[in-house]
Parts: sequence; C-alpha cells; structure tokens
Amino acid sequence: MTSIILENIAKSFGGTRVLDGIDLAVASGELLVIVGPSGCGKTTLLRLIAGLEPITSGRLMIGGQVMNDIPHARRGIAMVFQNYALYPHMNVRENMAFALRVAGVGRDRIETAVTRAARLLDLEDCLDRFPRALSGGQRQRVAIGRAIVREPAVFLFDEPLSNLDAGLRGAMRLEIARLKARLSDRTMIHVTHDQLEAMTLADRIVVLAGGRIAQVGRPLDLYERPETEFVARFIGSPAMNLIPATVIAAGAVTRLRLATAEISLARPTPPDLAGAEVNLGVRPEHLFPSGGPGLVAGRVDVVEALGEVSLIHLGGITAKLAGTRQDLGGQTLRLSADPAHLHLFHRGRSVMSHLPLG
Amino acid sequence: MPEALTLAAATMLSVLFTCVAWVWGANRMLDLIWPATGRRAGRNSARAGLIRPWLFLGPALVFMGLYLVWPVLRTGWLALHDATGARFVGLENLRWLASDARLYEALGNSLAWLLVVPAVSTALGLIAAVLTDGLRWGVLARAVLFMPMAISFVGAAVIWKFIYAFTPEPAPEIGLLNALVTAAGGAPQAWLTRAFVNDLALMVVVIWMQTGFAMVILSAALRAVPEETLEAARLDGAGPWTIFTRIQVPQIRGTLAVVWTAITIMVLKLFDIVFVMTNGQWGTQVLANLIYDWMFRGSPDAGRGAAVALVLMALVTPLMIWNIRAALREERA
Amino acid sequence: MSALALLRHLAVAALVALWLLPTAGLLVTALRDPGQITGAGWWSAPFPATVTVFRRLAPTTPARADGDAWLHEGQLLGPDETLLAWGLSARDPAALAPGAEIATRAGDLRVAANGRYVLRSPQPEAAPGLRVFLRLRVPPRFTFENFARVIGAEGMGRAFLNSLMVTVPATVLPILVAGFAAYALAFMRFAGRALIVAGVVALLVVPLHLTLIPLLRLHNAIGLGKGFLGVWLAHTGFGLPLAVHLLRNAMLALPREIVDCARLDGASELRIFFRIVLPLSFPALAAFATFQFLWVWNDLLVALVFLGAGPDQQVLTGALREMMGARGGEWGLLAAAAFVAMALPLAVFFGLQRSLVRGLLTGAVKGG
Ligand SMILES: Nc1ncnc2c1ncn2[C@@H]1O[C@H](COP(=O)(O)OP(=O)(O)OP(=O)(O)O)[C@@H](O)[C@H]1O
Ligand SMILES: [Mg+2]
Repeated sequence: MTSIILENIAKSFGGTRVLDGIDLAVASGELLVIVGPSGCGKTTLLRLIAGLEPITSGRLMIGGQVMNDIPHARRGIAMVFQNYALYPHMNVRENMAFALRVAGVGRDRIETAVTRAARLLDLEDCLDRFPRALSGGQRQRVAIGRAIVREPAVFLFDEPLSNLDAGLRGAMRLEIARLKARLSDRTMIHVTHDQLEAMTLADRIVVLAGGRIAQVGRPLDLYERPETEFVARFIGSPAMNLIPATVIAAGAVTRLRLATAEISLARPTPPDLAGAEVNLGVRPEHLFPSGGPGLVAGRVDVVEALGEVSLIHLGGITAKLAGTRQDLGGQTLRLSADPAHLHLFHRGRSVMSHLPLG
Repeated sequence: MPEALTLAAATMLSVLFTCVAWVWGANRMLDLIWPATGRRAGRNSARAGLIRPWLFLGPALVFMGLYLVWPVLRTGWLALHDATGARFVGLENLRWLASDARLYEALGNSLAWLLVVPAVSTALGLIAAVLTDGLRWGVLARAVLFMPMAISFVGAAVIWKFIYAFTPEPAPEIGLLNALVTAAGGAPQAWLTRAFVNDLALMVVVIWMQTGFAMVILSAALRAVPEETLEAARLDGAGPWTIFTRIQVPQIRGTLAVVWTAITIMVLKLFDIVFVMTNGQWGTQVLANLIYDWMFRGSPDAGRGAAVALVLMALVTPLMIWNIRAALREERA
Repeated sequence: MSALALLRHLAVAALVALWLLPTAGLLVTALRDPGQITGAGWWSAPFPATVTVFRRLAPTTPARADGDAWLHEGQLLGPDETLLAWGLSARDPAALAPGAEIATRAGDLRVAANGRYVLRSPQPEAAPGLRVFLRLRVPPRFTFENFARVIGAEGMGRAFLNSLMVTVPATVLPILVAGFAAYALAFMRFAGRALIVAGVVALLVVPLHLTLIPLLRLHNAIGLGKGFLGVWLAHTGFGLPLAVHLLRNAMLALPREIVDCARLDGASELRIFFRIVLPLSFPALAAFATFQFLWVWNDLLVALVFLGAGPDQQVLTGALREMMGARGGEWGLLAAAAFVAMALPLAVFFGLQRSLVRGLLTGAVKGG
C-alpha cells in the first residue's frame, strides 16, 4: 500500500530550475529505475521524495497521503546514498542499529534485526569494523543493510553501484535483484546511469533528461520503441545510429531518400512529413552486410574485435557483427537492416509508428 | 583559591547546562506545540521548522549580541556624550578630535604600521614558505618560525626589550643590538626612545610574530598549486624564478590577499606591544593605545575614548565589508 | 649539492637563527647567575667572565695581635673565582696587582692572589665595611634562582594559577554555544541564514576596544564588578564569532549526506548534533580550543579591563607587565618571569601544532 505519486513536481535552486513537470506514478511493490545523464536531476528527485529538499511546486503522495510538508522521519523511507554516507565514527553494527536505536527499539530486537541483515548481506564478519576498514563493496552493503533493518515501505537507491569495479558491480546487481525478490512488497526507486543495471533490475525505467521525464516504460519498451532520439541513443550500447534522410512520401507507406538509395517502408507516418529532413535510426546490432544498395555504404575505418562480436565503424556509423571480423578492415562495405528494426525521428521525436510488441 | 575553583566549575557547568537545557527543552516544546503527526502534520512541521534553527542559534546570538553588537552600538552613543556619558554633547567630541594633535600622531603611526608590517610579514612569510618547502629539515624550520605565534605580546615585548637594552658606557652592553653596534665601532643607542627608530623597533617585533602565521597559510596554498602547472612550465624551459613569479604567485593571489588583510586587521587593533614597550611615548602612539589612554588612564573620558574608537572602527570597516562579501559569495556558491 | 641548494639551506638557517636568537637569549639570561648578567652579554655566558665587583671586608677569625698592631684576616674570593686585579676606588677598581699592599684609612691591606687578605690595623676591631673592588675571572654559573624568586616572591606562581582559572572556562564555554549555532548555520535551512553568517564574519574583526566601557559599566551595574566571572563571560562572547566561523566551516566540509541519512533514520536535530556532527567535528573543536586557549592565555587587554589588579586576580600577562615597570633592569628576573608566562603556551604550541595549523587553514583569522 505504498504507491508513490508525483504530480507536476518542479524544483528550483535559487533561480535555476532543476526538475520540471515531473508526473510519475510508482506502484506499490514496483522497482522503478531512473536513468539519465549526469546532472539531469536524478539525485534531486530522490531527495524530494525523501523530504531532504523542499518541493518547489507540485504534489507528492506516498501511500495515498500528501507528503509535501511531512518531515522525513515520518515518510517511512530509507535511502542509500551515492557516497554511502556511513557514519565514520560508528562501527558496522552501530551504523545499522542507529535508526532502530533512535526509534527506541529494544536491545534484543535491534540485535536480531542487525544479525539478520548482516547474514542477508554477508556482513557477519565485519560487524565490529569501522567504515574506513571496509572495501567499497562492503561499505555499499552496509549502506543497504542500514536501510533494510528499518523495514521501510520505500527504498531509495542513489547509484549504489557506481563506485564499484565492474566485477563487483555485476555481483551486487544480482544481490539487489535477490533483495527485491525477498522484499517483494516494498517499493523501490533505483537511480543509475548504468543501463545494464537499468535493463536487468527494472520493472519500469524512467529516462530523465534535463530535469524532465523523456520516457517511462518497461525496459524492452524503451529499447524497442523509444519515443525520442535522446532515449533511442541513451538506451542500448553502442548507441543507435542516426542516418540523415529526406522524406519523399509520407502516409501509409513511407519513402525515404538516403545517401545510398531510396527505400520504402510499409509503416505509416504523418502525411505532412513529406519533404522533411529526418533521421533514420538503426541499432548497431541490427545492421548486417548486404549485396544490395543498403542503408549506408563506405570504407571500414576501424574494426574493434571484442571476441563474441566485432564493432565495425564506417563513416560515423557503427555496426555490431557476430564473430571476429577483422578481415573487413579497409574494405568497402554496404550495410542493411530489417525494416522492422528501423526508427524515424523528426526534430528529435519518433514519427513512425512501431510494430506491435511481440 | 578553592572558592575560585568551585566558582569556575560551577560557572562552566551552569552555562553548559543552561545551554543544553535550553536547546533541548525548547525543541521539546516545539514538538509539543506543533506535533508532526495527525491531520495537520504538514503545516505543523513546517512551522516548527521555521523556529527550530533559532533555538540552536539562540545562546550564541545572545552572547554575541550582548558582548559585541550592543557594546559597539553603545560606544557609538558614548561618542556623542561627555566624559561620564551623562550629558549629550552632539558632535563635540568629534570636533575636538579633528583638532587633536595626538590623534594625528597616532593616525600617522598606524598608517606607517599598515604600510610596513603586513607587507614585510607577508613577503617574509612567502619567502620562508618557498625556502622551507621540500627541505628535509623544513618542518623543524617552520616550527621555529611559527613559534612566536604561541607567545603573548607581553612576552615578546620582554624578549625584544632585552634585544634593544641600553646600558650607558662604560659598562658592557648586554642588549644584542647595542653589542653588535659597539662591536662594529658605533655608539650604543637607547633605541626605544629615539623617534622613528623606535617605531621600526616595535614593528620588527610584530613582524617577528606574524611571519610564521603568513608562512603557514602560504605554504599550504603553495602546496595546493597543481604540480602539473609547475612541470609544464619547467618543460617550457622556465627557470625557478620565472616559475615562482609567473606560475606560483598568481595562483596563490587569493591567499596572499587573505593573509595581508588578516595582518592588516591585526595591526589596526595593535595594542599590547606599544602599551608595554613604550606606552606610546617618544612618538610611538597608535590608535588602540590612544583609545585605552582616554578610556582608562589618568582622568578617563569615555566620550573622547569612544570618539577615537570610532575612528578605529571606521578604518576596520572596509576590511570588514571585504570579509563579508567574500563570505556571502561563498554562502551563495 | 648545487650552489643554489646550498644557498637555500644557508638562507633558511639564517632565518631560523634570526627567529630563535631573541628567545634563546632570554632563556640563557633567565638561567644565569643574577650577578653575572650585567657583567657580560648572554652570548658570553658559557665562558668564564671577567667581572668587577666590590666586597666588604668581613674577617673570619678573631684578630691576632702582632706587636702593637692587630692582624685581621679573611677571604675575599668565592670558590672558582680568580683574582685578576683589585683596588679601593670605584674610579680605578683594578689599580693593584694580586699580592700588592696599600695603606688604607683602616690600616695596611694586602690581598693575595688566592683571595686571602691581611689588614694590619691599630685596633683589635676591624673598621667595618671597608670596600674592596675586585676584578675577577668567574666561571659561568647557571642557576634556577631567578625562577624560584619570580614564582615565589614575585607572585608569578599565583599569577600562573590565575591565568589557568581564566583560561580553562573561557576556552570550554564557547565551544558548545558555538557548536549549536554552527550546526544551525551549516545544516539547517532558514530565512536570514546568509545574514547571520555575514554578521558572524563581521564580528570577527570588530576591535574589542569598542566594547570595553559599555561592558565594564554593564558588569558593574549588574553587580558582577571585576572578577573571574566577568572575564569568562567576556572571553566567551569575544571568542564566539571565531568559534562559530571555524566550526561551521568544518561542518560544511562533512559530507552532507551523513546528516541527511541520520534525518531519514528519524534522529532529532539534537541527537544528530550530539551523536553525529559533534564527534565528527572533533578536529575543528580541538583547533578552536587551541586557538582560544592561546588567545586567552596571552591576552592582556581584556584582563586589564575586566579583572582586578590584586594578586588574587592578576594573570601572568598583567603580572609580567607590572614587573617590567617595577624591575626594569633586573633581566634575570624579567626573563624568568617571561618564561613562566610562556611555558604553557609553548608546550601547547609544540604539542598541538597540527591542530593549530588546521585551524588556521579552516579560516581562523583573528586578532582581538
Ligand atoms: N543544492 C543545490 N544547489 C544548487 N544546485 C544544485 C543543488 N543540488 C543539485 N544542484 C544542481 O541540480 C542539477 C541536478 O543535480 P543532481 O545531483 O540531481 O544530478 P544527478 O542526476 O544526480 O547527477 P549525477 O549522475 O552526477 O549524480 C545539477 O545541475 C546540480 O548542479
Ligand atoms: Mg546523483
């Protein structure tokens, strides 16, 4: 029963608007991931929800109750901070017990809760150590442990994995997925700029750009049906290719003129688009070499062989081909793609209806 | 003595206790008056949040208000009254002041102090910071230069009065300065009674005390200069002198200004050294000592003392504004 | 070593010598035998000194009869002293060689090289107090006599205790008061915060001279008069701007998220202050305490105005200043007194230098 609803939320620091027109409904028990480039307002949004910053305008409801002015302590929210914010002068046990002690919980129950959390997070050996004597991964787990002993209705995670190395990050990602499975009734909002994290953990993803919501949707939704160029390029790696094109005909069937050829797509576009300059979007993994005129043509500048796949770069376009393809280096290549995987953007917004999701 | 000790303990405990009790009790009151629960939780906690900071600030504001703000304003009021503060005399004291030769003497000396001491202290501090940086025994050297910071002005006055000590011939000179002068074939002098020379003699004492302060701050600033900028300059073929003047000094300009103003403020308020070593005689009078003279010496005149104090305040004010603006700039950032 | 490096070592050595010499000279003087101080500068203290003194004849044994005259015998030299020359008048104190004999108004006097003298006098009682000038070579003599005298008879011991009495409460009191205020200024959001911060910075540079008369009258009016209580309160008030400024800067340097996290954990502001912020600000507290300690201990002005001048209240700086007036030429005593006054701050300085430097770098720039 702890849904979170944000209605037209805005936040300004002094004169600068950092968040604007945020409308968002997080269902009870959902794990929502917020992604976005650095400085787009992710942390600020979490701080608003937690009550650490006053909301400039708009309405925040948690569990059906307006929370704009309710002090943080009464919102039932735990937050894991970007820099962990462990209390440096308390050992791990005291760090985890602090909130319970503040709440006046009895000694025995504190001990039980801390032990349980420590077992869950594999921290039993570190309970008497101080934060400075912990590794990054351990600190991160203490920060999570400190949140879960409180049994809050809502968890806010602010890039908890960003300070970890790649291997540890993978492991901790799994850890969070498990945690979520175990605490399936808790609402979680998780901020990251690692899209792998976003894709694997999220029930839904919010893409934030410049203080506004660019798109909300299930992970594959965002991948397959990005509504803006920004989302299209932000989700997926390497980023989606954008090929300039001119619309010759629009309507039920769309005809485009590319540098290499003219192509027809059997997917509708708004009729008034005819004559417009647009960007044709295609993901690197959807490109393949073809005998025909293709979507792009050019000499291969660089081949990056990653083992299972190779990244082929030609004239600003990237293609991801299976296997090791160093033989393509220096060759002239034509690349094509399945029309079902093409996107069309006009002035940054998607203008071609997508195929229904499978 | 035992009663005094009891008094000390009791005062300490009672002030600390009052302070904690006040903040604690007032916080509790707020939570009782505007509980952050129930239907009005939002409005209540917003209201309590408006007041709570002032509870924490309260004791400090009371102390600073009572012991700094009010007395300063009151001194402004005193300056408009006669010697005992009983009769309003308007601008009489200021008019008298404008024609008082001793004020001009003190102002002239204070001006000389302002020109010499901050400049020399900062320069020496900078030189010491550069020279000792990276030296194996630099820490030791810095500790020695910094040491006068721990000594009172009165203590320093004894130390230096001994340096300047003068014994009329034929007895041997036991003051280091006169011993050097006689060894060089000169005639010993009573340094502290010779006009102009005595000003310099007093300034040396303050420079001796302030150089360490400048050095410590500047040496931290120098160390904060990114090493890469020095290396880049070295690769460009710059010598140590060019690196110092063109790369290091420009990057610590802000700190130099801070040190300079700090010493300037200190010099403006300088009292003890002059009070103890010459008491303003033989042409060494400065503002702070003149104020003390009018306020507490001979036949005290609170009105005139306050008027001279206002002159001092006027001199400090520009620096105060500079400080405030720097602080506000930081606060906004 | 390159010439430049050598030059640098020499320059630093010169600076260090320049800074150390004045204090070293005074320390040596404090430890010298008072009788030798005026005889030669402190730099010659380690060497035997040539001094000119006068001593009065004081025969050690009863006079012996020698014909119609009486022989009075005694010793003029102390241990380790060597007689170079002697005389009877201040104008020519080294007129005679050791072993020479001269007629005086009391009889014929002869002083041997070992200091023994014989006065051949017509009376059995020696003329009392005949002065003999001696040019002596004396070995260096070091003693704690000066210290013993200033601590005891000159009252520096009592003044030391008074200084402690003033300093300890004046150092402790501002810390908590300032801590609360710094916490509000660092971690709480409220209208007028910038104004208060600016006010604190402004008060940092206010000359104390402007506060003295109104405060003294206030103390008198409320019956506080001159005394420890008034001085504690005054120092607390005067120290607060620096304390608030320093502590606030230190608190701003703490990660803000730690306090945010404690708030989410449900801790009240008071608990956050005592359990989180205060312990984490300990280095800044220590830095301020060091500063305030040195400042109060070394203060003269506030003590002059707010304390009485009697021995039960006078602090070291005041006592030292008074000695400078009363005992202007007695450098042994003055030096010892100065070192009594400087001992504790110097110890604190060398013990807590790091804390002091940190304090300076956190923005502690003050001068009463
Ligand atoms: N207290 C503040 N005062 C003024 N501006 C702020 C404040 N906090 C954040 N900002 C600004 O708001 C914008 C959003 O900041 P925020 O910390 O929310 O970004 P973020 O998305 O979390 O970035 P990152 O991925 O780097 O953590 C930034 O431009 C930042 O400079
Ligand atoms: Mg962030």
